[in-house]
Amino acid sequence: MRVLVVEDDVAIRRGLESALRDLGATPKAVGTAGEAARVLEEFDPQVLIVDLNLPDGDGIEVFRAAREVKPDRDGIVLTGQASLDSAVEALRAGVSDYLLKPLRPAQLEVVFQRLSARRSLESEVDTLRAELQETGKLGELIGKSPAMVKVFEAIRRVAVSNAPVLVTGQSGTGKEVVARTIHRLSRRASAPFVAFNCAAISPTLIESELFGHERGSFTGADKRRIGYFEEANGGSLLLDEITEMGPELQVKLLRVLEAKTLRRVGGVQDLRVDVRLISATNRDPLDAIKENKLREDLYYRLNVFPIALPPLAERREDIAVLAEHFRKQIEDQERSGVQAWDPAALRNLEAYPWPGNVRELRNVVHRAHVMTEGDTILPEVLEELLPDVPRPAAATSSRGTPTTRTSPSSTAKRTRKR
Amino acid sequence: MSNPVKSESPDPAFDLRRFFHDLATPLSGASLHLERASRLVARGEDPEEALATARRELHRAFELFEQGRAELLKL
Repeated sequence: MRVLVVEDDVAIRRGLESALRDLGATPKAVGTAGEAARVLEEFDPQVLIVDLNLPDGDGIEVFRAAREVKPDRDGIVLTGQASLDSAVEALRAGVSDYLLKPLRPAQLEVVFQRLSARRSLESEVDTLRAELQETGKLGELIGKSPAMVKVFEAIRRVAVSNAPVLVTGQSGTGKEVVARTIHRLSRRASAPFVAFNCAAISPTLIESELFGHERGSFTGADKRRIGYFEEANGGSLLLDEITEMGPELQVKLLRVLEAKTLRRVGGVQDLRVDVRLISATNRDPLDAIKENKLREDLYYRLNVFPIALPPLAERREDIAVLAEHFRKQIEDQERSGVQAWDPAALRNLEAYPWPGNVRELRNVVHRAHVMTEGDTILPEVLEELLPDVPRPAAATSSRGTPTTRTSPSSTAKRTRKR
Repeated sequence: MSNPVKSESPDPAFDLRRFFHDLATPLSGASLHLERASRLVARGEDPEEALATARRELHRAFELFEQGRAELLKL
């Protein structure tokens, strides 16, 4: 790791240079802001260790200028007690850590190793992201269609921020999977991901489920319970089917988003929470506003970064990839020897309209897998499962089997004989 | 009643912070070079130059300490 030390005291400069070299870094040390500016481009440091007070300028400014060129550069400030306030300001400017003078080599080692570990983790995540995109996968999401590539790009961009996300898409398109992927690619990945379906809980209980309650706050509240917001503290909370939340609760949610504090039902204290909110709906949010199902002010709070998931019928090129992915997944669990798809069967899948989207496709693949007793899923199996599918290209399977309506058991027998 | 001498002097709290800040610089140098000397010894290399720097920085720190102490006593 290339580290640029900007410190006017020559003894500290040399001492840091030597210590950093022994920690495995490639250091370069200069004494002024001007020298730092001169060597920045050629040395191209990944990390800057800057003294706050330099003879010709301000250490924070040196760091800011370096980061403007490359935003992934990290900074450590050197500071004495007298300038601790400025060090806090530096942290706000994006500096990762600070070293308090008098410097202790052990402190330098801890700060440097913490930074190295984080950078190596980030680089691993970047590599993973690139690999996943290349192979048409991002987390549990799969697809190479232009529509899904756009979705992957949106997820990749928004994952690194804290912006609230609103995921829209028909039922079964994978809204929860998108939310989980955003969480897993974010810096909150080690904190909890909590998913809550607003339509699955009775409206009278939603408030207590979301915000928690104090003991005795209502009949049956025999002990204090923390809500999903507190459970997700430091992590991400998915509020699915957000338009099913009652208008009064929407006002409370808006207040939580604005103040970043919540009050448990029956509580008197405001509690600070740090939660990244991802909401989802299968309705058009603008229609929901017109129908008074969603407050407009809440919509603007939730919809900072919208992600619209395309229906499966609009990304037919992904159907075969998804079907094969599900087949492998199911085969890994069930180990019944179903190793492949007959190409004609895949063509049948591609021709079907999939009103239930990816969820329906997964169910169909699972059933086809169960019904197949040979090693290949044949189009005849799908005829049972997709009765209305138009079959222009699937009159016969690639193995020459006439496509006739057969019962699952007769299909299985014929498959076994081959 | 306020003390006229104290009110005309610079803020003592400020001076004390400055004093510690100034003292921290040579102490940092001494600490880094003592550690460096120790690493050199562990590798079987000559620590003389690192020790000399540490000694020089400690001397600087003591000088600053004495100056600072004298200044503080004047307050």
